[in-house]
Amino acid sequence: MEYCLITDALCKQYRNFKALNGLSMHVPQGSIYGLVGKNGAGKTTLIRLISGIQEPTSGNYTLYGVKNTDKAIYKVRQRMGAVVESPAIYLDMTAEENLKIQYQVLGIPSYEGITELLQLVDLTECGKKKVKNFSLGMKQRLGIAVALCGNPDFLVLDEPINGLDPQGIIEIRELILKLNRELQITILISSHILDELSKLATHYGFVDRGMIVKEISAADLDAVCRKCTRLSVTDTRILCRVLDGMGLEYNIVSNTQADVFGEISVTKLAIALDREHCEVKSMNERDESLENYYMNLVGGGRDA
Amino acid sequence: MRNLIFANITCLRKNKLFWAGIVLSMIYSAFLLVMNYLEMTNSSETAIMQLNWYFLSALSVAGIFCPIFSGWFIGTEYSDGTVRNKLIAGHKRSSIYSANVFIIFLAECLVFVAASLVVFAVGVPLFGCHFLYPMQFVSYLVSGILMLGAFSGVFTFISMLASNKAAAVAACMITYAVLFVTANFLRITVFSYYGEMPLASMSDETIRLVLVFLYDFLPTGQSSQISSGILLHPYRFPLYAIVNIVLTTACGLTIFKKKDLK
Repeated sequence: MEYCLITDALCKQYRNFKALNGLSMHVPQGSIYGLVGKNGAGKTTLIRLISGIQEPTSGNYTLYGVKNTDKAIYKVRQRMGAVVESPAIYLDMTAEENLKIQYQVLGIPSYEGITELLQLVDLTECGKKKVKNFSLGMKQRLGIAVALCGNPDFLVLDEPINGLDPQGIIEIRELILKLNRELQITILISSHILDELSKLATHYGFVDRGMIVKEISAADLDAVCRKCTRLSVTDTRILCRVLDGMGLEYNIVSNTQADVFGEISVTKLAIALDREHCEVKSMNERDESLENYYMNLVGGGRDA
Repeated sequence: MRNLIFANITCLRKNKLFWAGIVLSMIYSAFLLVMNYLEMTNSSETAIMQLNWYFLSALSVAGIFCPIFSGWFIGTEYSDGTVRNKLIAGHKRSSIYSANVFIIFLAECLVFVAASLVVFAVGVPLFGCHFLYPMQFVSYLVSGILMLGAFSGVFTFISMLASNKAAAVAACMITYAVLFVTANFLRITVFSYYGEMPLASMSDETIRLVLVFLYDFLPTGQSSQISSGILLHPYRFPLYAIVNIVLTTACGLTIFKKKDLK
């Protein structure tokens, strides 16, 4: 598998605080890589480092095979676009003027493609409206348009749906999927909104305390997050005996509850429990969500 | 760096503060010319009729414009976050810094040129084409242009170290105020040496030399001398201005390269 970004033991120290602590990750080409972590985990710091906005304290990263310490990194960066924390746009200019300036920064001689970019992010109706009068969703989309100037192969988005209304979230999601599927752009998207990421990402990197705790593809994650049936009974000891007899995998949740994996014959189970004088109070199907998986991975209740 | 300069020029063209500076410098020059013309009609002895002075005054206007504009222009890059776009696009920090020094210098020069055009357009019809000591005037003009470069070096240094627009503007204004007051103090102290009652500090030769050096070296000291038309050591000015530019740019580059941007 080819990777467009590989980080190797990246560390970043700010005075007394270590934001990144040996972070190693691999972003496959063509993927939508979801960087998952709570506030303060190190997602934005990582993005700042790989975007060239800050330098790592130690460790290195490789962008399309070029190390960050190599002089050629400046050239390779032109294959990358990023929106870091908030859209970097001139508030006193229009959308088109912002894109023209970015074209000049990139050294693109003609302004061909600006109209198509504005169409792609649905900002063609803005006209002479200054960016300071845009809604947050419009600013986010313009920020993405600026990052897309120069036709990058790799797009980095730092929490792009923060502060957006439901309509705005849908628009950004559809845009990201379109960029990946139609233009084959690799996308690294950081977020702490797991539900939204689960609709987008093909790969996940779970970040906690400045380190990657786990990297996993969406397909593997689906396999891990298994369906189960949660049973509430009067006596889980009897339930265990019955389930062992039926050869079913299970996990005891409490004195009265258990999760049972695999296909269950409800009739047979109920009859077997009744013979042992054990009542079934309730039975319902559950998925282990991305949220549960994440919480099991990093643990809950710790402060950022 | 060429791409950055072109992008900065586009931003400059759309910058309202820049155009306000252009207009105000033109109004200031016109005001000086008209007021002196009216003075001349009353008493030709007190009026200034040589165009030298009007051109050199325009240089000090450009110097005053520099801290306000550089704080605002470069501060906007931080506040709007657009400096990040340049780094992400693969530009080196040295290129970004140097392009900013250049654009501030260019803005100052354009403000000076705008004021100079008014001096030509209004001054020549009013006073005729009177230039006192033309060669000396040209050398003062060259020194003045280099002085603008020194201003741009100093205030780009301060603006690039700030992290937002408000901090950049405040730091630049405070620095200019300090430099301006220092230059005035030095002017009084240094010129007292040539008067009847030199100040006590000027009696010590070492201190005198240091104060004279500072008066010649500081951009505000140079501005004070150039606008008054009395330069103590005119042939040192270009060298001091170049040293100023080199020092501030080198220090600014060193610090900016290590700065963690957000």
